[in-house]
Order: sequence, then structure tokens, then C-alpha cells
Amino acid sequence: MNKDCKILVCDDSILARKNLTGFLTGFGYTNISEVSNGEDAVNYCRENKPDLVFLDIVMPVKDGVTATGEIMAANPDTKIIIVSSVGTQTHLKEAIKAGAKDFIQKPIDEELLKQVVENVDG
Amino acid sequence: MDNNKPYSRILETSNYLNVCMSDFVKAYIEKLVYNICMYVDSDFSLGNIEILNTFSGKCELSQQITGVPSAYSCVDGMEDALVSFAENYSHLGIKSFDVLAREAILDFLNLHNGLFVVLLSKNNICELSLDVPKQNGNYQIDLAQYRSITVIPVIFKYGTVKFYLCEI
Repeated sequence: MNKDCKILVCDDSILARKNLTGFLTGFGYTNISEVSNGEDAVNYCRENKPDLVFLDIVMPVKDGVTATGEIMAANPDTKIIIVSSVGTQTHLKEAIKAGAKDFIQKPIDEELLKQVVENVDG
Repeated sequence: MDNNKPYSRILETSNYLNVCMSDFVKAYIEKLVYNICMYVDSDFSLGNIEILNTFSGKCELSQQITGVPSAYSCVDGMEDALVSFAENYSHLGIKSFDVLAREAILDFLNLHNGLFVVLLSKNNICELSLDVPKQNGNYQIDLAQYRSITVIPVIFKYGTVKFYLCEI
């Protein structure tokens, strides 16, 4: 991903958003927006067509897996990475089936995040 | 378990193996102790773990674990202890029991419950999920709704934080 790509971070936890945005900023990415639920993520993606979206699974209003399917239907070029503490086999399968490119287990490992972001185009 | 690790010592010096409880609750306590050591503070001990027969009270911070088995998890305690717990977890300069303190505690509860659910999934024990953590829920714990309510007191230098696991 180019450093000027458009990134959306979606998590209902303020701490999680702050943490993830902090890592991404440290990697040199500058165009980062935040929302706090899946419905807002879908609406943001329809209007702004981000290159990369980070979605939590457990969120109010609309969960991350449902949002993934809707974002992919609206904008198939968007790359989605699920970031969640609930990385069960069932959730992983559902997320990949919905169109997610990758899955990162919370708490986020900074090096792993960097690798995933750099290779998400591949 | 590695006896040199703080979580092993904490578990060994507690009464959790002497209390009659389900394997689900035992696994929850073991993972909770591990996660507190990893992400909050390893300088604590477990108080007397109890399975309650009579209890009625409110918990402000909670999250439901859904599936089979289902359970309700809650966190409670004196505000000073909760504030210190939130700060030790988040390192955000939390000094009062405000929205950020509640967010931090719920973030830990969500992280712990998520990692617990993943552990059960990896071991092919069961596939569970989580509901959204609730803040300001004032959740009424009523024993009539549950098979059992386990109280897990975590005693830090700055006070006691109580975790409740209510098996549905």
C-alpha cells in the first residue's frame, strides 16, 4: 500500500482505534479516518471509497463480518482486514467468505500489522 | 503450567481448584489470570473465589458470551481500584472513573473474553461468540436467571476488582 492511500479504521473501542491509528501513523500512513460501528463504515466506504479498511467483528449497530460483505458489494477493490479479539475458526471462515483479505488477532502485534499492510495488495 | 510464571503462582495460591465449578469456569479463571498478568499487572492475588447461591446486584460494565454454553461476564469494584486498573491497562493517564476509564475496562473485558473464546475454539471445545460490551448498562444480576454465578476477586495493591461469570 502507498503511504498516501486512504485508510478507514472501524472499531467501537476508542482505545483500539487510537492504538491502530497510532501504529499506522508510525508506519508513515497519513490519510486515516475513524468510525465506531459497521453501519458507519459501510456508509463511509460508499462515499469515500477507501483503499484499505480495518474492521472489528464485535460492534454495535452492524458487526464487522456483515459490514465486510456490504463494503465488498459496493466497492470490490477495497481491501479489508479484520482486527478482532474473537479470532475463532467460525469467525475467520465467515470473514474470509465475506471478502476480507486478512485477519489480525488482538492485541495487535506491531510487526505483524506492518507485514499485513505492506502485503495486502499481493 | 510453568511454575516460574507469575500467573502459575497466583493460581496455585488461590482456592480455585478447591471450589466445585465447571471446566468452563475453571478455564475462564485461568485465562483471566493469564490475561491480567499479560496486559494489566502481574502484582496481584486472587481473593476467595465463590459460587454464589444468593445474590442480587448491579454491574455497570458487562459483556455476554453467546453460544453453548452461554455466560454473562461483568466487572465491578470500588471506583479507585477500577480507575487504577483502567490506567494500568491503557496507559492513557486515566485519573477518574469517567467514560474513558469505563471504555478501558470494557476493552480489557472484550480482549479477555475474545482470547478465551479463541482458546476454546483452538482446542475444539466449542465455538462461542461475543455480544457488544455494555457501558452504563447497570446490568441487574439476578441468580434466578443463571445456573451459577462465580465471583472472582482480583486483589491489587490499589484495591480489589471483582469479575463475575454468570453461567446461563
